[in-house]
Amino acid sequence: MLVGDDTDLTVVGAETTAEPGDVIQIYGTIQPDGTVAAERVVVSERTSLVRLYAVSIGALALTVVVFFRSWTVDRRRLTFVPREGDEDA
Amino acid sequence: MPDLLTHVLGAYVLLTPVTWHVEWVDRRHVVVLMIGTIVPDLSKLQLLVGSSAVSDAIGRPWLWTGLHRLGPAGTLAAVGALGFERGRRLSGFGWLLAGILLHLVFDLAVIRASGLAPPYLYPLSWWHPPAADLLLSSDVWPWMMSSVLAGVVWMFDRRLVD
Repeated sequence: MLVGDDTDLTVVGAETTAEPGDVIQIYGTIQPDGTVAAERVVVSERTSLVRLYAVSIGALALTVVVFFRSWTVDRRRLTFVPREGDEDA
Repeated sequence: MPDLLTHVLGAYVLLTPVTWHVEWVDRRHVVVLMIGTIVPDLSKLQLLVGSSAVSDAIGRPWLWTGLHRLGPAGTLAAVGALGFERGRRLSGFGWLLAGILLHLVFDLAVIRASGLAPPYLYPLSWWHPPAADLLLSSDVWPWMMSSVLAGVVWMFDRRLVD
């Protein structure tokens, strides 16, 4: 696995294009000359990723709100306790 | 990962019908399960603070990706469960852990160039499960579909509670 913020990699054999900001997955073999012979390439476009993050942040907010409809914080003990009057009690 | 909305609504859609039939499962458990499905995606904090920045700051190797594995996510769930009042901690941990497992199962659906998902069971195993290759995280249809399903379940739930 390559870990690092700035690793240059030349990929050959990919029949797809990617724009700056896109995230790509490449499966292939590293050749003696340092290039990667791609067997499979999957591209996630930048705009779809931005939408993914927006939807996910919305989901995070939604879940926190829903959580606090059933649970509340006992301020004396600083613990989560069931909210009073929750009809499912 | 599919988007987080698919994860949390998936948990809601799967567990809410159980609350209609099983007396000891109620809405409180559903929301804790939903919180549990969020835990592995805390690894996405890497989008805000890169792993190498954390490494540099603490002087030790660090990969946010670790949080997306059973061991570290489960440990975090155990710590989080301590936040519940005494007597509800074990149950809280159980539902959080179930949420983590559900998240990892959902993530098997993601298209991987290698055809294999990451070793989600780490540190229990380095096994790479086969990827189902059904969707990209950035696809729209998973959260559209889970939203519709969640809406239907929500309506049934309201009717039954009233």
